[in-house]
Amino acid sequence: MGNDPLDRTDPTGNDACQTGTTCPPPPKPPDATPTQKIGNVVHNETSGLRSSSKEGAGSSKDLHDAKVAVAHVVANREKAGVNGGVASDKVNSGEQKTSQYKDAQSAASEASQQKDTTGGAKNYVLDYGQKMPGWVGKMDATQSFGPFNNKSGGGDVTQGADVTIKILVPKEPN
Amino acid sequence: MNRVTPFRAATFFVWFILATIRPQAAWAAEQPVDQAVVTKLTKAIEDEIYARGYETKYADLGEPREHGEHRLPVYIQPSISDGHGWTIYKLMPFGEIYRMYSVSKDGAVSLHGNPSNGFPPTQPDYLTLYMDDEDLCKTKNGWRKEYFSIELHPSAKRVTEARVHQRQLGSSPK
Repeated sequence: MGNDPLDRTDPTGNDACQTGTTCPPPPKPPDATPTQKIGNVVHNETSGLRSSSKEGAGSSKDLHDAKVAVAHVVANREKAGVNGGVASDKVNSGEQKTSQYKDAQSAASEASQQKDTTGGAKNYVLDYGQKMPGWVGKMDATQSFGPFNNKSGGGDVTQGADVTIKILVPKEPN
Repeated sequence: MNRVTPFRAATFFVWFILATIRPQAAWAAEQPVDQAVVTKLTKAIEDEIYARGYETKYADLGEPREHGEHRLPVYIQPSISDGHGWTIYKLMPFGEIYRMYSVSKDGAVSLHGNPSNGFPPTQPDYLTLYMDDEDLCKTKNGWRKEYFSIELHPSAKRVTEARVHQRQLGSSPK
């Protein structure tokens, strides 16, 4: 017998896998729930940000609140059938071990259990001082979070404290 | 007679040393993009393409040259602010992107953002299709135009070098 754990011929049952013909495919990880997917989007949007102060604007609480607001917006977009236009909802296993990821998931969970705090907003933008897409000029920021530090280049060095997260709604017609 | 006292000479010496060291210790708020940054930026763009295996998507783009090499334009904002600048180029398979990059205090250049996110308009790196057409044309006309080159069949050595460089910058493919 090829994989008999008693006589230790093949105690792990993996010898057949070496030949590559009879090895079953590895089990797929369970699909993320809708709330987890929103948490993944929130993480991919904000994972490079760090708090810039101990309390008030730019604090870790402010960053968490920003993540909750972004989670509301992503949920509002999904309810309205708006596809794309935000970061990916896939996060690799290495990233899932980070404290930023856990905070994003916690924010998404919190948002799913409370009333929308954004007034139905369907847009947000992370303002690094970039030239904004044209449609941003036609929106009003109803909420603003930060400034946060930007963790640049994947290293641990932070640069500047100039990233704000703005929740946007269309401007009222005059 | 204007004599240089030992005290004044020492003061001048200290001032000279500080003035020499300062550019390496801190970024000026705004400074022009020099050739060294351009060279490192185009290298970072090429490295990311090779590290992620995107080079095969460039067969129908840019100016074909010898040995399966394609030359493409890259537009670079003429100045860097607080170590950040922006660039516009074609990153396949996504399309043309507006992208932030960082220059660290030791002069290393790294591209911001993770291509796996697909460059949504919420980030400082996004597809130029989200920009106003006129604004995009004006921006390109006002920026420095340089080129990067992609080999459709890079050597294994070049690909390894690109991956190592990406890892050093902390921006390995996810």
